[in-house]
Amino acid sequence: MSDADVPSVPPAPGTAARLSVTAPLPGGGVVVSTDAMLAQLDSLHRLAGVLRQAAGELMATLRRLEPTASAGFDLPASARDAHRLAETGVHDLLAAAEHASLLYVAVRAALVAYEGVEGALTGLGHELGENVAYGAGVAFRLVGLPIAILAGGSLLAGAAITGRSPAAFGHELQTFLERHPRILNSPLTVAIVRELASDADGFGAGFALEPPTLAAIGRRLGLTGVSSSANTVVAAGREIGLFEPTGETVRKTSTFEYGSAPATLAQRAKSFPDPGEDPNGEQIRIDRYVEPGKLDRFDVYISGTVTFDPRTAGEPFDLQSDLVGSASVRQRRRRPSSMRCGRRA
Amino acid sequence: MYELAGTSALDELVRAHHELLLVHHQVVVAAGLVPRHESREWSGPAAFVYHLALDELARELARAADALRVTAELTVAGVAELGGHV
Repeated sequence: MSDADVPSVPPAPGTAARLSVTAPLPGGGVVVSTDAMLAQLDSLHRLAGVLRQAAGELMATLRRLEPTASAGFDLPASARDAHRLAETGVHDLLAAAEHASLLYVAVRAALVAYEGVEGALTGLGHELGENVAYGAGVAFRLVGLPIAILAGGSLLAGAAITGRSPAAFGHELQTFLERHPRILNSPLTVAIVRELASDADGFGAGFALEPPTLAAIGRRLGLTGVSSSANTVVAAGREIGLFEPTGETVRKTSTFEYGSAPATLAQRAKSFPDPGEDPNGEQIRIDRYVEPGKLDRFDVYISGTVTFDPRTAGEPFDLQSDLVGSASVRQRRRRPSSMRCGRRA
Repeated sequence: MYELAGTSALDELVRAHHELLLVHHQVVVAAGLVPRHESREWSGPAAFVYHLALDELARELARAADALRVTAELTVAGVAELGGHV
């Protein structure tokens, strides 16, 4: 029996196939790569199946030899020893299969537990971030707004004097970030941007001087969040001619066939499209995995934002798309981690 | 009569030897499925216990493969011995 005969293991409940890393802390901690653990689950599941199959075949051989061994015929001692050793082998194989299955169950449980802990920590961090953002929104409304108006006026005045468009500052900033990709690629930057985006509704609630309790209820009911914040920004931008929708289209540029799926994260990373380097400037790549007797599976790779210019142009991967995409994500109600453990919306 | 029974047992042992080699091969291949532990992928107390269990599992499989190899060798010896008598 080949490995392919053993069905692939489905992801554990509540563990979507994604990378999840908890960085080690000073003085101890854990590192967990969910993708790697899922791959190990798959191996253990296959291993248990192969061992049970091997034990079954060995047992069938022994059963067939039983009449010969018990017929009173004088079998050589070595053959009788072989028979006894093979009987032990059946037990050993079944025991190893059982151990592989137990490990499978343990890793699966660990995976769910890690996800639950990570979800709880993320929820706590987000709640804290929302409160800070709310305070910042109130402070900005009461103190920062006059300063911002003054700074904006100075920027416009400076632009008028130098003859440069204010948008040029944005372009310069983008060019600077492109020349220093490590800034945007840094996990810290990504974490900060993600937290700022997810806390934007808290900032908005504070800026609107909404009572904190009401803001919290809105969050918990899923009425506010990233999508409502993105909607607000898009609506405000469209008032001054920014973020207008464009008519982007998606077309197939090429088709490739490969023999095997990526086995490591490094190989998988090579599948990311790079519009600047790929021959046709592909921005979306879809890999389809076909296995007989199973539903087709897909990996979809989407390149990152190409321009942060708020003025709509022909580029589909722009800031407008980011905001509209975020705005279209349905709000989810936050559940306590114990309730979320074991499922993923 | 004795010779007929001996020939039948000989055939059975030869067939058993062939099947043992197949099972041995399966177990050797299965040993390759034991996950390799990488501390970059999972570390911490639970991972430590898991890695110990993986090592034990690998040893169990190595023992089982050895036992099957010896069983096959003993069967060959049985075939040779029986073949000399019939």
